[in-house]
Amino acid sequence: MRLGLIIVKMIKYIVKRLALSVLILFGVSIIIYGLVRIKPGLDFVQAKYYAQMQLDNTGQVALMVEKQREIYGLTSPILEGYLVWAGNILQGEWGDSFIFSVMTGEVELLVDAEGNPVLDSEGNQLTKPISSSNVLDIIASKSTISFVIALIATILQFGIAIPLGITSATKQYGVVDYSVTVLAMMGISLPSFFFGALLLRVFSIQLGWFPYAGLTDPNSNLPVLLDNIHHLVLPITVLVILSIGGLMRYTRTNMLEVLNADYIRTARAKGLSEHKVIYKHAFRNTLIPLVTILAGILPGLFGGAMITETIFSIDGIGKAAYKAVTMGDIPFVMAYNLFLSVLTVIGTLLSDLMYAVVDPRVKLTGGSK
Amino acid sequence: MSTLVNEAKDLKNLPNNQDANTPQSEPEMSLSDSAKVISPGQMVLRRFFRSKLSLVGLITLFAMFAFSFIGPLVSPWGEVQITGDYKWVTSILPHQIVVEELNEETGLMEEVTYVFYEVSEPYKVYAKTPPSWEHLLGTDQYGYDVLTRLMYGGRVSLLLGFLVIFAEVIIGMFFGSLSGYFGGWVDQVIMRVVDIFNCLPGLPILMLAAALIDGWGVPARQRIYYLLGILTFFGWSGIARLVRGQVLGIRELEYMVAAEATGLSTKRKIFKHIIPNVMPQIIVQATLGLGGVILSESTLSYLGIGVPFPYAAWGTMISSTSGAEGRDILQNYPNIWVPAGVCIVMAVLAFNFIGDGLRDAFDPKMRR
Repeated sequence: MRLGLIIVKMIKYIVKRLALSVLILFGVSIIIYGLVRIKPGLDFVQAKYYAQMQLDNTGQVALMVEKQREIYGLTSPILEGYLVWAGNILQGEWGDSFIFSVMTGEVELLVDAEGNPVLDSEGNQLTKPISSSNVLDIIASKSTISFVIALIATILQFGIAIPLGITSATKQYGVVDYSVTVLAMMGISLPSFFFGALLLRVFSIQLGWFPYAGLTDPNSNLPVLLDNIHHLVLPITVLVILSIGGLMRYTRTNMLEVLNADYIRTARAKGLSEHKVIYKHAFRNTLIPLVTILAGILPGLFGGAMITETIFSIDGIGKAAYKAVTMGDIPFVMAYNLFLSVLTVIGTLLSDLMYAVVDPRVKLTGGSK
Repeated sequence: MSTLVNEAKDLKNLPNNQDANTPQSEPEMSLSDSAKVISPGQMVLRRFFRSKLSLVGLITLFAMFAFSFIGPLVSPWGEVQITGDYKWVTSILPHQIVVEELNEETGLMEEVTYVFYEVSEPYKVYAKTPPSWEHLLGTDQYGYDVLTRLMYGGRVSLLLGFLVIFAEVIIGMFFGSLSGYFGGWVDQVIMRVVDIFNCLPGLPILMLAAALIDGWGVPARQRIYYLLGILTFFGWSGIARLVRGQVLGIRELEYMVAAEATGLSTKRKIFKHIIPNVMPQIIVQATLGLGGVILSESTLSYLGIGVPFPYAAWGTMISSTSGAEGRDILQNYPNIWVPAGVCIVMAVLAFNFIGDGLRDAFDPKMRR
C-alpha cells in the first residue's frame, strides 16, 4: 500500500519534471534561433554562399541557397521561421553542416545513364559509399572519441578528488589541507588553452616524452591501443587537473559539514576507531550531495572539450564545434548547442531523481530545486 | 584569536546581567572598560585579514591594477606601436604558362612551358626580438612590445570583468528579489527563465554569439561593448537564483514581520531591509564570478572572437601559439605567451582567494 503510494508519487513527479524539461528546451531553442536571426543584413546561408553567388551566372547557386534558406525558415519572418525550424528539429531534421561530412557506412549501387547496373570485371555491381552531412550523423560519429577521453578523465577525476577532499577535511587547516586548497584553486584558475600549451611545450617539445598532436602516429612502433593511450596522456591530464579543483573543494565542504553532525559525535563517543567513523559513517553521507554533480557530468561526457581537443588536434566533437564556429558553419553550431542543452536537461533530471533515491528525506514535490 | 572569543563572551554576558536585576550602571561601566565593541563590518574585516590567502589575493590584485592602469603611463611603447627589429624581404612567386609555338626545326606547333618569377616590392618583416633592456619581454611577431601589451590586456580584462559582474549583479538582484519577494506566478516565470539560461552550454553559446557578432562587421573598438553585452546576457542567471534563495529565507524572518507591521512600503522593505542582508552573499558570488568572467573573456580572445586585433588581450597573446607560426613561438619564444598566461592565472587566483576569504569572513558560523 505504502509502496504503491510512493510509486504513484514518483511517477507524478517524473511526469511533472519531464513537462518542465520540455518547457526549458523550448526556451533554449528560442534563444538559439533568436541569436541566429537577430543578425542584420545577410543571413548565414547567404553569407556562406555570397562569393559563389556572385560568380555564378546560371542561377543554380541562387536556387540552392533559396532551398537552404527555406529549411531554416529564413525566408519568412522570425516567428514563422522559428516554427518552421522547430518543426524540422522535432522531426529529427537538424540541418546539414556546411563543412563536415561523414561516411554513413551504407552504400549506393552505381547505375549508368540508362539505369543499368555498372559491373566490374568480375561481374560484381560497383557501389559508392554514401556520405552524409546531416549534423546528427556528424555529432554521432565525432562524439565517440570525445566520450572515451571524457570517461577516462571523469573516472580519474573522481578517483583523485574524493580521497583528497576527504583527507583535507579530516585534517582541516593542516599542511595537506592548505596545499590541496591552493592546488585546487590553481586548477580552477588555469585556462585550458594556457595549460595545454605549457604541457605541450614542456613534455612534448622539450622532453619529447609525448607526441605533439593527434591520436596515432604511423611511425610509432607501439601497438595501436598503446599508441592511442600515449597520445591521450597530455589531453587527459589537462582535463583532469582543470576539473579536479571544484570537485575536491565540494567534497571537502560536504565532509566538513558531515563531520560536524551529531551522529558523528555519537559514533566517536561510542569509541569507534577514527577510520571507521570517517569511512563508514561520514563518507557515505558525503556522497549524497555529490549526486548533484551528475547533472554536469552528462554534457561533459558527450559534449567534448572544445579547447583541449583543438590544442591537441584530437578529431572529436569539441574540435569540430570549434572549427564550425571559426568557419561560420552555423547549422552545426546551432545543433551542437541544442544537443548540449538536451544533455544538461537530462542530466539535471537524472540528478534530481537520484537525489530523491539516495536521500530519503527529500520529498518529491516537483518544481525546481 | 583568543581576544575575539573573549570579547564575544563579554558581549554575550551583557543581557544576562541585566536580566538578573543587578544595578545597571556597574556592569556596564566595567564592560566598556574591559571589552571593545566592534561593529559587524570591522569584525568581517578582521576575519578577512586574518587569512593569509585572502591577503595574498588582495596584494596580487592591487599589483595587477597598478601594472595595468599605471604601467602604460610609464611604458615608453604604445599598445599598437610597432617597434621591433625588422628586415626587408621580397617574396618570389613562380608562375608557369604554357604557350603553343611554332617549332622552327620541325615546322610543327608545339606546346612550350615558360616559367617566370614575379618578384614583389620589398616589405618589412618584423622579427620576434628576444628580451632586452629596451624590451623587457621582447617583441611579438607583429613587432609590438610584449610587456606593454600585457598592461593593456590587463586593462581590458579587469575592466571588462568588473563591468560584466556589475551588470550581472544589478540584473540578477532585480529579478532575484522580485522572484523571491513576490513568489507566485512572478516567481514561476522568472525561475523558469533562469532554468533556461542555466541549461545553455557555457562556452559554446558564447562562441556562437561572439561569432555571429563577428559577422556583423562591427568596428574593432565597439566589439568590446558587444562582448560585455554577451557575457552579461548569459551570466546573470546564477546571481538571480542566489538572490531569490536568500530573499525567500529572509522574508520569513521576524524582523521582516516587524517591517510589515510598521506598514513600510514594498520598495522600502526590499531596498532597505532585504537587499542589505543579501549583500554579503552577492559580494562573495560576484568576487568568485569575476575570475570566471576573466577566464571566459580570455578564452574568447584566444579563439579570436573576443577582444579584436590589433588591441591587446591576454587570450590573444597566448593564441599566437596556435597560428601559422605557432610551433615556432611555442618552442622558441616563451617570452611572448607565458607571461600572458601567468597574468590570467594570477588575476583569477587573486579573485578566488579574495572571494573565499570574504565568504569565510562573512560566515557567522566560522570560528576561525
